Parts: sequence; C-alpha cells; structure tokens
Amino acid sequence: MSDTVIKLCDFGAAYEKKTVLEGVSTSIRRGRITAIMGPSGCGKSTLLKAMNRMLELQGGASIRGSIHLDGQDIQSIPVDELRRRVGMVFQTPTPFPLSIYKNMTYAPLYYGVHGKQKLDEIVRENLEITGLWDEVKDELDKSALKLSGGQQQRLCIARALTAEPEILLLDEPCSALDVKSTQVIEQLLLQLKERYTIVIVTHNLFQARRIADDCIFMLGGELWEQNTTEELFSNPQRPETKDYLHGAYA
Amino acid sequence: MKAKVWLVKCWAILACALTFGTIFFLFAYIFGKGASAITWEFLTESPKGMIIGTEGGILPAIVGSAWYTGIACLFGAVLGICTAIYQVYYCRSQRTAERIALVMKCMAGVPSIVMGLFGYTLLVLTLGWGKCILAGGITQGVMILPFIEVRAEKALREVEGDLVHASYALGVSRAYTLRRIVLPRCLPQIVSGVILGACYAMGAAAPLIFTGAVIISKVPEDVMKPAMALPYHLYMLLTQGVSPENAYGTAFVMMMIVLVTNSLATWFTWRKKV
Repeated sequence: MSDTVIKLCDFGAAYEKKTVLEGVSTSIRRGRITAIMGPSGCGKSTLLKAMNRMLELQGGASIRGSIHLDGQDIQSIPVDELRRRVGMVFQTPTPFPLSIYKNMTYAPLYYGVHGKQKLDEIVRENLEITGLWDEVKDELDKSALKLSGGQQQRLCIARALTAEPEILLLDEPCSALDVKSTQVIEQLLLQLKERYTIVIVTHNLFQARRIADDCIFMLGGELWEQNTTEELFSNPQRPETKDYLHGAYA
Repeated sequence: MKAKVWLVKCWAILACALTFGTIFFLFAYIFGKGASAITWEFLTESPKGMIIGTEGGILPAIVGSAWYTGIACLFGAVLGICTAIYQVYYCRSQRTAERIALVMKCMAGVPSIVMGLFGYTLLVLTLGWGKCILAGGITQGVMILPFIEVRAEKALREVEGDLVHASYALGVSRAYTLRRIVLPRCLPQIVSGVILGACYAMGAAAPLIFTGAVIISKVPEDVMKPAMALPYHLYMLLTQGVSPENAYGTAFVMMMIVLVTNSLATWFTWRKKV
C-alpha cells in the first residue's frame, strides 16, 4: 500500500460562477492526521467536502481537476461506496432523532448486518472507541438528542465509524463544543489515527498543532503552504503563512 | 400618532371579533337548528317519506360520504405524497420542478364543478364505469391531490438538511434516508395534510354531482355502484324544498364529522411539537 491515500491534482471548485478553490494539488498521507487551516472563506471546508463528494449536494457547485482515492478517480467510484469509505463528521453535531442504539445501527442495517448479537457488538465496539460506552450503556434507548453537545459529537464520530470507513473527514468538529469536550475529542482523534486516516478542518491553530501530523494552509482558495506540522509552525516558508500563524488574519 | 395606533388597534380587534363572531354564529345557528333533527333514527336509518327525505335518516349518506372520502384520500395521498417526494428528493432539473409546481397550482385552481365534469367525461363515460363511488372518490381525489401535495412538500422541505446530509455521508441511499429519517420526521404534518384534505373532500358536493352521488340509495356495499353523499343530500333537501329541518340536521352531522377530523389533524401536528 502506498503512503498516499488521497491525491488531488490541480483541483478547483466553484459555486455558480464564483471560484472558491483553484489549482489545489496535494497528497494526504495514510494513518496520519492532516489539518487544513486558514482564515474564514479560504475554501477549507469546500476542499474537505470535495473529498467525499458532499460538495455535489450543494446547488450550483462545479469542480475541475481530479481527486484520487487509492489511485482511483473518485468520480468513477459510485458515490455511495465513496461515502462509505470516506466518512464525515460535521461542524455541528447531527445525531438522528432516534435512540442512541438506532443511531449506531443505522448504517450497519443498511449494509446488511443482521442479528441482534452482531449489531450489539458493533454498537458496543464503536461506542467504546469513542469513550461513550461507559456514559450511555444503560440508556441506549434514550433519544440521542438528549445527550450533551460533546457526547452528541462523539456519537456522530462513532456512527461514522460504524460504516467502516478508511478515512475520516472532520469539518471543525469542535467549534460548537466547550473546552473539556474538545479535549476529549482531540484525544479520541489521536487514538483513531492508528486505524484511520484523518483529515480535519480547523480554524484553531492550537488544535492543529496539538493533534496534526501534517498541515495544509489555505489562503484565498489556494493551497498556500503544506508541510509537517512541526516544520510548518517552526519554519513557515511564505510570509503570509507566518502572518497567519502570528494571528494576522484572526 | 397615539390616536393612529389606537385606531389601528381598535380596527384589528373589531375585525377579529367580527370573524370569530361570524364563525360562532354559523356554528351556533346550525347546531341550534339541526340539533332537534338529530335522533337515533336520523343517524341509523335510510331516508323515507312520501317525498323522500322528509322522514327517516341519513345513514346511507354518512356511509357513502365515508366511502367517497376514503377513496379520495387514498388516491390523493398516494399521488400527492409521491409527487412531493419526487419534487424534493429526486427531481434534478429546475425546469421540471417548476413545471410540476405550475401544474399543481393550476390543478388547485380548477373549480370543483369542472373537476366533476372531468371525472364524468373520463371515468363515467369514456371508461364506462357509470356513476359510482369509485368514480366520485377518484374525482374528489384529483381535487385534493394538489392540496395534499403542497402540504407534503412543505413538510419534506422543513426536514433539516443537516440530518439528510449526515445520512448521505454514511454512504446510504436516498431511499433509505427517506424511509428511516425523513418520512418519520414529517409524518405528523403529512398525515394532518391528508386529514385536512379529507375534510375538504367531505364537504364538496360539486365533484360528485355527475360522478357518483344520487338522491337515494341503500347503504353502499359496492364501489362500482352510486351512493348518497352528505353534501349532495343536503343540497337536494334544500333546493327541492323537501325538508329544511332535515337539511340542518344533515349539515349538523357533516360539520361534526369535519370538526372531529379537523381536531384530529391539529392534534396530530401538535403532538409532534411537544
């Protein structure tokens, strides 16, 4: 298996006629956490949504260039299969208005997993990974909407894992959470990178620095600079990156 | 300035009072006049008398109306809800969606008597069904189809896009998302839309005049036979001067049925919000 999981070639995207991404070429490495950061409106969320073709759901979005997943153009992969392999967690937690248990079995049931025992196992395993099991094991029939914000977001991560993805995309997953919940999720992501490749969009520099192995800095719809986190933070090559890291765009 | 505000306030209160007053008067008047006609016999027997309708009851009309309305609901709900689902979740082209919306608007604007004429030409004559419950029910169904579609579409569009996207992000299909997330979420509104449509159909005599309703029939058993209907019976009783008292009685029964089903619809939507 090659080191590169996702490869973007001269990728661009536009809403209606407004270009939001242009000429992005980069590689996402396997088993690592890659953070995409940059000021608001730099196209970082758009870039993330392009990777599992969620961008298509936005009216008027068009793309140029290509994205490859394990060497295969994602446009040639059936969209359902692509989204199963590339899971996504959104900015605000999106638990389904169902019980915790049903949230967790939602995808497995679709993928043909049968039998209570097998389902129970999936629920337990993934809730354990996200550290939610001990908190909710006695009330799996409770509505997921009754959980706290941080718990909801961990549930969403656990739910994404039930589809058995290879890659996990996270779009500012902590922006709606308090410090404590953010910490828990960051710890969780650090554990998860052993099994999944993680791409996280964040506007929080400290967060990128704490958890990411690689960093991509976006500016004005372009990939401005990319490097390992350590290198990028200690030795930015371009002046704009330096300014950003020093809070110039805050 | 202060006088102006006061004036507007007065006007609003007056308008409000007038509206409520009219409705209250309408109900009170009909209930007052009709209540005396309501007996056990009135509800459980067929019309009788030298001139039919002066004596006896309206049971065939109650059962007939239930049949017409049931068929109308089935027909209107299936087509209306499916159209709404197509509009919101499957239609890719803006132009097609606009055209469907236009057709729905036009359909909603067609006078009910013209709907009756349409049913008569297509179902009664061309298909050779003759006047029957099925023809009348379907005609009413076509009439309430846009009514249901508009409400179902609104309910579907109100389902949070985040949830739908979160479901797609798991790689599951649109159909699965609809079945597990979207429809359960907006079922109360859709059901209440269908019930309101039922009330609308229940009170409409015009679509039935050519397609199914008759002056007198047995309690209906066969959908391919004509049957009495409450609004048509009411119309006959009054226009032919048969029995104004029984006409009020019929109106009373009809309004009670509509009131109860309407409350049911309200309860259904309300229950979801709690």
